[in-house]
Amino acid sequence: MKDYILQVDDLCKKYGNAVALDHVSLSVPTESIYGLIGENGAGKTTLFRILAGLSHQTSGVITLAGAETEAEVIRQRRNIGFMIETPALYPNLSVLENLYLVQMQYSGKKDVESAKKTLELTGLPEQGRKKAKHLSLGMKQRLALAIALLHNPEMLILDEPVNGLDPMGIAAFRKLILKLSTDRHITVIISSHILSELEQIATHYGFLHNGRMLKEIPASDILSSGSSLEQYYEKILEDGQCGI
Amino acid sequence: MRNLMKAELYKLKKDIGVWVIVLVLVCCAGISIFTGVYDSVENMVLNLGKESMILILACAIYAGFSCTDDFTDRTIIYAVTYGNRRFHILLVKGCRYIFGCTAIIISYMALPMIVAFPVLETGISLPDLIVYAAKSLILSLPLYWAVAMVFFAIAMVTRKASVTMGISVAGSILGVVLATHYSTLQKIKETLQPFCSSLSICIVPLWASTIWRTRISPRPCLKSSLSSVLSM
Repeated sequence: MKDYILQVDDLCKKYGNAVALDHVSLSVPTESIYGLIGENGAGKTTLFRILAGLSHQTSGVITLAGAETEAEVIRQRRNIGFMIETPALYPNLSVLENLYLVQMQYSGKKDVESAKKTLELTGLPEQGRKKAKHLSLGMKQRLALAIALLHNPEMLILDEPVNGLDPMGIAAFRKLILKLSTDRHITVIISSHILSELEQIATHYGFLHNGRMLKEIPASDILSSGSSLEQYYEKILEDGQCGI
Repeated sequence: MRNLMKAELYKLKKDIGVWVIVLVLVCCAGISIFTGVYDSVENMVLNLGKESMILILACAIYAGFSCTDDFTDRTIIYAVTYGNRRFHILLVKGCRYIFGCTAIIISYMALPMIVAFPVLETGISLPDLIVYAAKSLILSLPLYWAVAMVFFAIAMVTRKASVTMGISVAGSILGVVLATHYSTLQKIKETLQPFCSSLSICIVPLWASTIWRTRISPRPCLKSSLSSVLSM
């Protein structure tokens, strides 16, 4: 097994003259839960969009499970489950039909059993016949997660997945991520503004600020320093801004 | 690409937009049948075949319904992240749209005929009538496909349902008004129709793919769409 499932080296993304990502490098250990932290506009979603193939980097190298060339990375991307920004669903189809459709896009056939199991895993077993547009935001988030998990991915990329969830929903989501990590050994990259939640699940952190990666650190190092994640983030931000 | 095609056909099966449009068109034809607008089935089939504007507008509205949903709902990300090429995604979306348009056209031609046959008088047998309707359908389908591909290209450039419908419907009306006003345009249309049809079917997906890849400004694309409509 490789030490790092994802390595990003010197990644840059420019939109005209605006720099969204400025020589970002990061390494995500296999089977870890990697918390990507940064304020709004730091470049988290841009980074995720590049990893998902929705956008192209201006320069830099992405190594995904050992794959470096573009064709190999595209192939490896099929082993990743994505949940980027708001849940992307087919509103006029039922929950189960949403899953069938994504299964067909992935493998060309629908697997009823697998779809039902994934719904159970994400806590939506009773909602199969309900139309996606009639779901609450929390349920939509769960359905988007179910879609991301449908093809048994090796890695999950979740962009602010608990946005808009109530406290119970956030707690359920946290438990689910921990379960996926321990039971299925899935590597998870997760961005969130709720640091107290990230603190409970993440094993590694990356701090992104104004398109630059300020620091990467294992959670155990923060713990041993005696400061909370929030305190550490503030300190990193101050140091980073001084540096800039 | 095969997986994508299966998924698009599944979407088409679940797409009520096609059947809503068909229902509205058949209802309109039904009103004409039952209020005595047509005196015979032959007359009705002949008139339905001539009313190309209705079907062009139906295709324009359907383009807004069916082609832009993946962009507005952001579900296009699944097709992209599963490693499909942009060109293939466009191609299968174009196929789904053409299948939908074909279903609308065939239903519009066939269903009123079934309704009219027991109600209106007819001088010819049903098999002869079906052969006549099928011939007229086969001859007219390429033109509808070509126009539909222009609507599809507009949908891919704008990626918004309302804008697609607006431009397509306005473009169609403008095209027909110009064609009627300048009668010579009608002759040109008849001469060039097969050429335009085949050219549009081949070329539109290719330049749509180029737009996607190179992310060029929509202005030249709209300009070329407009010139395609006018050239027909």
